[in-house]
Amino acid sequence: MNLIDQLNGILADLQGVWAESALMLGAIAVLVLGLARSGRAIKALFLIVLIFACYLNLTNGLRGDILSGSLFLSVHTSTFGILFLITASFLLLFKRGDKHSTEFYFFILSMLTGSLLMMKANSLLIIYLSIELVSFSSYILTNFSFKKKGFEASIKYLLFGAICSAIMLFGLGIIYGSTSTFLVSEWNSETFSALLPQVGFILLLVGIFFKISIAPAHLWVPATYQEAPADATAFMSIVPKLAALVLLKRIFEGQIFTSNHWIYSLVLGLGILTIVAGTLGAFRQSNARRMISFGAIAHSGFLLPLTLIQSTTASESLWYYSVVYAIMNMVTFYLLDVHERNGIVEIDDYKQTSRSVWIGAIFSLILVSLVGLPPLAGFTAKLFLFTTLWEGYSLLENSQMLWYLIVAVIATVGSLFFYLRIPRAIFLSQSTDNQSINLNLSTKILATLFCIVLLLLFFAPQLVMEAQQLLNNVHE
Amino acid sequence: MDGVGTKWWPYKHKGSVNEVLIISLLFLPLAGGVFGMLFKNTSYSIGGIGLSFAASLLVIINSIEFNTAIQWLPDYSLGIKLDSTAAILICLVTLISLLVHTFSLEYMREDDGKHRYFAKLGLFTFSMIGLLLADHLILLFVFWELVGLTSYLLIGFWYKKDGIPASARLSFMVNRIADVALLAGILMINNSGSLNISELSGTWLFLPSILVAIGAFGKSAQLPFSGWLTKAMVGPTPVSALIHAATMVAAGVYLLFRVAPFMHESTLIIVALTGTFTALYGGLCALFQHDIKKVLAYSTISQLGYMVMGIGVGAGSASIFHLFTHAFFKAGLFLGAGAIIHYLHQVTKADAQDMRNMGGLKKALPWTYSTFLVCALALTGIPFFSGFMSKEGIIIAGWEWAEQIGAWAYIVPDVGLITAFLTALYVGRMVLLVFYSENRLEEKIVAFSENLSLKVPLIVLALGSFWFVFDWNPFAHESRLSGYWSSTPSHSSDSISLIVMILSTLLAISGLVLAYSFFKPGSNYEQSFSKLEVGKFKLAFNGFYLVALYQSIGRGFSRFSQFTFAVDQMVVDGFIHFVGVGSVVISKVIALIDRFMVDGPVNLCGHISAFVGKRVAGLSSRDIQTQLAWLLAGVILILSWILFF
Amino acid sequence: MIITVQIFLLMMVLAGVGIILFTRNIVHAAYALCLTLLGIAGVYVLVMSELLAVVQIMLYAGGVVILLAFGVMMTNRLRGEKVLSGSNNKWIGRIISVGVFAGLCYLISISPFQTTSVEKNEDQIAQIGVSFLTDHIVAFELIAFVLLVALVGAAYLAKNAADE
Repeated sequence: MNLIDQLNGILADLQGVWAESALMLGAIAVLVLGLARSGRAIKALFLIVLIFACYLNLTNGLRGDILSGSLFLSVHTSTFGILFLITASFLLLFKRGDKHSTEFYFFILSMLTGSLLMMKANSLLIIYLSIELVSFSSYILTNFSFKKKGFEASIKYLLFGAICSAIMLFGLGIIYGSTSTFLVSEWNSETFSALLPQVGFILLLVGIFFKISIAPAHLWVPATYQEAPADATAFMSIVPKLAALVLLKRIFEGQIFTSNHWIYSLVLGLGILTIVAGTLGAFRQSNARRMISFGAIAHSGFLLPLTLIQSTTASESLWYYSVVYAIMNMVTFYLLDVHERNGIVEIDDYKQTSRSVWIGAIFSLILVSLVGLPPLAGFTAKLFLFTTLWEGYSLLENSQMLWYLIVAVIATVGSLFFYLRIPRAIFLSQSTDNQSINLNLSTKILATLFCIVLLLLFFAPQLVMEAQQLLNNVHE
Repeated sequence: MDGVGTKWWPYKHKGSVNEVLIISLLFLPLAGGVFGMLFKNTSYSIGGIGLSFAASLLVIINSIEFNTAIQWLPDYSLGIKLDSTAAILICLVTLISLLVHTFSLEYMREDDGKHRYFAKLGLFTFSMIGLLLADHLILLFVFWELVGLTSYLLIGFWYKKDGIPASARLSFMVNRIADVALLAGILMINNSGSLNISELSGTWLFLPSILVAIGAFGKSAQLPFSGWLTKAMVGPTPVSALIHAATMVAAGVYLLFRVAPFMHESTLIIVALTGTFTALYGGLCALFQHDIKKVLAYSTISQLGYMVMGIGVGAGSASIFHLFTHAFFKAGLFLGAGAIIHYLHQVTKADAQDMRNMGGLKKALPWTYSTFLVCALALTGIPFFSGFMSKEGIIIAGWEWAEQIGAWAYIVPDVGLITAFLTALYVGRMVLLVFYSENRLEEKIVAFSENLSLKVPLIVLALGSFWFVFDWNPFAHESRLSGYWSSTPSHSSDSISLIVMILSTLLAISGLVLAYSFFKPGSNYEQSFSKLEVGKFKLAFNGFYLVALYQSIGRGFSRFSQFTFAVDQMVVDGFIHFVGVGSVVISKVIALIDRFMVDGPVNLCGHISAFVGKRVAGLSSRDIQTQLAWLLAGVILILSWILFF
Repeated sequence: MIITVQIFLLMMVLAGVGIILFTRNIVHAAYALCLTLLGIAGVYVLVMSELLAVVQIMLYAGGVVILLAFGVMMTNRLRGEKVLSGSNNKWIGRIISVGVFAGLCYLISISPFQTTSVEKNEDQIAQIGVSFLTDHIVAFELIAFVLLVALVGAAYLAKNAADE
């Protein structure tokens, strides 16, 4: 193939990366605008960039390998891309002073770029670089409170991330060395038959698991989620995690392992470990944010097996759970932020809020949804997940799936006991020094709207599936 | 069900009109409650439930059947079905709910939160009707949870009083544990076909069917879940009548009735045995209580045990019949107790639920007394009352079942008969101690004008406890209503039914006689009753420490999580100490770097090298090096597993 | 001849690594790192990839090590004391490193590596340049953006640290 052909091919494929390009340019534009303006103008530009990227993402009709196999586009990448962009736009709802807003939105946009590329990545180079891009932005966002503790969390996160990234890079090196290809799509069932590439694959998993926060690479989560600004945490707990899951799903979709391969056992075992670690860890936390972050770890564990099962149900289940998880986490951190601004940080502090009944009730409903009880969308997500696990059990004939199901069910009950500590503090305490906290109307309306959405998605889950179809077919 | 009533309703076969009817039947109680709370007017609630009752009567009289499905997730079409069983039970629920609403008008008159109370009652009625309408197990589970939630809300209604939130939480949590089993069971069944009850087929495996049964045990307060029902008695008494006697607790029996044909054989045996022993357990405990509501709660547990036993022995029809009669007389007893408590609240400051503070109330509350007596006789199982007919049905079926299963299985009807004796004993004790002899209070008894809104529900429920409501023949062990829930009339051999009837009547009467000789006015027991301490019957008084068991399980769990937390800490921190690192040298280096950080004009590089070099200036959280060490150790563990195994 | 060079490079690398491991003085460690990196650059030359060798010398030996040295110098410029590094978790650290080492040795010993003869490729740099702008264009652009983000982040953190 001569150079001209190659260049023409690249030009033809560029459509597939327009959204990311727009985000990169938008990030730089935010930085430049930040020199002159701050506050509203930045937010407006951020929103415009997101909408434009959304448009570009929707109108892109390319599927499959593009740009000499660097990226792989599919239904998932296009629909999850939209989910990520919408999630990012919700960050504008958080209260944020002008001081650091330019840089904040710059790093959010770069994290978004990294996440979009991560789930589209087909080349080992892109996998590594996009994970690094996401990580770099996360390290810096963690320190955005510019307090000693935030700095501490940020440095810990950096060190943890650096080690994981080094391990992954070593693994990528081993894989490339023994398969002499960068491209995930060229892997087949023979690729990992030898021991050396298998070890490389494990090391690659370490890097991906770091992003999804699967044990034992979950240790950074509590400190980071606790100290980072609430909006950054909300974003970090949703977008990179889901992107890494989509990437993992795509890797396993290549049928590189048979379903009784020990890699499956390993991944399932670590997933169970994650659920256990997240659930047990949450029990004795006194800080609300820290408790929720352990809950988020457990949710990673719930989502993990969906990447192993290749079926329509599994894909739908992943999509549905992701959408619901994104909504739940976004609104949880939003409410945590609102309370923290009123000095309510520890779970016990919520006893003071028993006068704000409305917001307390909404908060309780959201937490009930995080537990996974009806009549909220969290229940449907869990139900869907359990159905998929059962299907996986009968499909793959992997008895570990059954164990996974059992652990997941038990953990769901267990999670009731810690998530409901907040409602308990709000409603069942006999605190005397009640002070009503200062909440404006828009907060209440927003939280209520989110809650209604969760209820709606419970009663009409097919909306989410139809949305996926719709988003995927807009370009036609 | 053609042939029941006249068909003056012209729209019987018009789907859309029926749809409107069903929707209003379902939502009117809720709407009434909500409007009542918004406009601070209880008449909305009464109107809502009244109309709903009227609608359910309409459904019954015209034998309307209704069937639809809502498309939910792909492959999940949530069926809603109104068949004759659901219709008659809905009629029961709305009737009892209407009576309880009426009763509450007087009972809650002075309470500040009464509008909140009526809203919750409305929500409960809505959920209960929804539960009965649901044909799909998932939909049923949703309403099941909603019912549980409203029960929790109503138990904790007086949440400002000491101990009430804790009791509400305990009963909520015990229920949740059973509900998880139910959900797990449903999910397992999910994979073998449709979840619509009317489309179920085949026989389930043992595990899913026992899980579903455990879910039902939780709601119906069977062993080992019975403890929550006594804890639930801290709620307002009309609530106990509606939720914890007549309707919600019967939901477990209803579910078992619906799914019993698909249950695994061994599960049914377990169900029968659980019901039997729960019946005995409830009867024993009821005998030693001081609190009138606790006596009734244990009695409810015992009667629910009968129903579950009936399901287990294959007499679903008899169980539902007992559910029906029980709903009337137990609601009547609870409302009667409510009237007594309401009255005592007005005359004394002493504990108004403690029977040691009662006695001689016959004169003060004549209407309450007579209705209470009728309901109590129905509970005892004396002929010419409804309880006799339905209880007979269950025990006879148990007997026949035992004939087929084998000798050991006679324990089921035998314990049933023993419990019938116990029932008579504790009922006699309760009635004698509450209404007869002299008042044990210091305050003087004054006549009390029983308000109309107290009286009417009591009278209606007492009337519903007579035999003729269910069948003209007082010795029939099924009802003219039986056709609603069972298509095949049960036929049992006459000899067995005769023996059982005579035996149980004798037992009930001897129980009453024994009770009279023990507890009659002026007896030793009665004389010393007001000063009676728990004494040697501690075990039964405390319900065999079931609640304490839950609490210790809870504590054990919390210890376990403490333990894992400690392990978390110990493995990480302790390990370092254990190997003796962290000596003087390190502390000096820390001090050095701290000085750098505090004193020097520290730039980024300084920060990073300081942190990389040493520990983080954090306080309690574990240090990053150790975290990383654990990560790496994990990875190496995995790799060595691959390499060497 | 080649053998001599190989032994020389091996000694260079090992000496550097040894010093890094056992010195507590960070400046010494930085110089030793420089030695190691130069030795590895020499290995690259031996396997005929000049570009890597040049990059190694320019970026790592030239850039990274100098940056480290600067960092150390700026940290202790006021006191003039030596910057010493301590060590933590010695035992678990030793166990892990021995574990990694043993595992890798075992893995390499049992894995059949393909060997090919090294060939001199004249326009190696041109080929790499072309492939960066064709096959790996996304990675190339992404690296640029990653560096931008890192730069902005570092500058921003430094600025705010100086402010407060």
